[in-house]
Amino acid sequence: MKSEHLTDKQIQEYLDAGKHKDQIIQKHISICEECRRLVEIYSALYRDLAAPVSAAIPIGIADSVLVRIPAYERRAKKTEYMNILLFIGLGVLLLGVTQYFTDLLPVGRDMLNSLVPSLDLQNGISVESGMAAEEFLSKYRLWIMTFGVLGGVYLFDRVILKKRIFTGMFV
Amino acid sequence: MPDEIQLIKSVLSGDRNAFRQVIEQYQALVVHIVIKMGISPVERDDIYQDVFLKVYQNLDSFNKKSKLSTWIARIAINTSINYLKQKKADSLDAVKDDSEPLSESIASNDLTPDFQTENSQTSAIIWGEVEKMPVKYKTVILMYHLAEMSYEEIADAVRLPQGTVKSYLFRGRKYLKDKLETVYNRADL
Repeated sequence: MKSEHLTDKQIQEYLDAGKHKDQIIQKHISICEECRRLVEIYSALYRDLAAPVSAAIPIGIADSVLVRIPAYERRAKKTEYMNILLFIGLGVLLLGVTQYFTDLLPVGRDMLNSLVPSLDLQNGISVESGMAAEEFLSKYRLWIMTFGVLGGVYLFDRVILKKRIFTGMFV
Repeated sequence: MPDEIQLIKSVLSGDRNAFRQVIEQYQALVVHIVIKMGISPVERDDIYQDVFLKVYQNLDSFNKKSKLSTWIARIAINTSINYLKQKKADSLDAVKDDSEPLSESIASNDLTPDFQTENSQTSAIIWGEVEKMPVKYKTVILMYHLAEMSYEEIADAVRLPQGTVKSYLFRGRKYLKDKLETVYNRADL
């Protein structure tokens, strides 16, 4: 290579490369005393920066952390219950939205009948309960949807992203 | 490493003494990082506790392929950065003019190092200098050398382009190398 000396950037890149070092630079270092000297200084710096540390440790870190764990666990439990509730909310939303566009009651009746034929849900109470459910859904559709959307966002943030982008601000 | 995995399993099964062991094993690392990140002495205890509580809370998501020390170091750095951002102190966002030489960004007053590394005087000098650096420089240096993160991982963690991360890292290390060179030259005299 290059008769001129290596730059600081080249030397750092060379050391950062680990096992896959640039052969041309390696060769240059072997013949150039000035560059070899710089590599040695940088190597010493790298060693110092990665050296095990024995800091002056304040007394009682472990005790103060362990004391706070029960409260932490209670909060985690609370969040878990919140997740379950919101998951239910999301389910209700999905049912609400589906019910909005299509009539789920006959589908539900058919499913139950196939599972428990003795129930015979074609007549009687099933129709009445179906009517009540439909009335409930149409009356509270907006609330169910709002609750479900918020629950969906919360769950997505906590369960999928695990970064608590939104919920970290409140919980 | 097998001991480490066993220790993690014990913590996850609810063994508080195992978690005490984790704290005692890694508290020096956490203390070191928090001090180097420039957290004021009165706030440090809270940060140490927050770091270990986060370790406890997230231990089940720890990827056992990496070292526990690396993972804890990342938590310590991120917790310190978040704290500094909240304080609106010298954060990664508060970037000064990048063309300004690093030596001019660093106050010339000599701080007494709060610790001694195992190696020596030069280590103490180097870490003393790191402590005085702007947050963006010391963050990437700590992430690369103590948390053993790659350029890509650092860029992802600090949400800066990889080129910018490399630039901070190279300039920071060059500054430290110059300091080290001065120490060696002085010793030669």
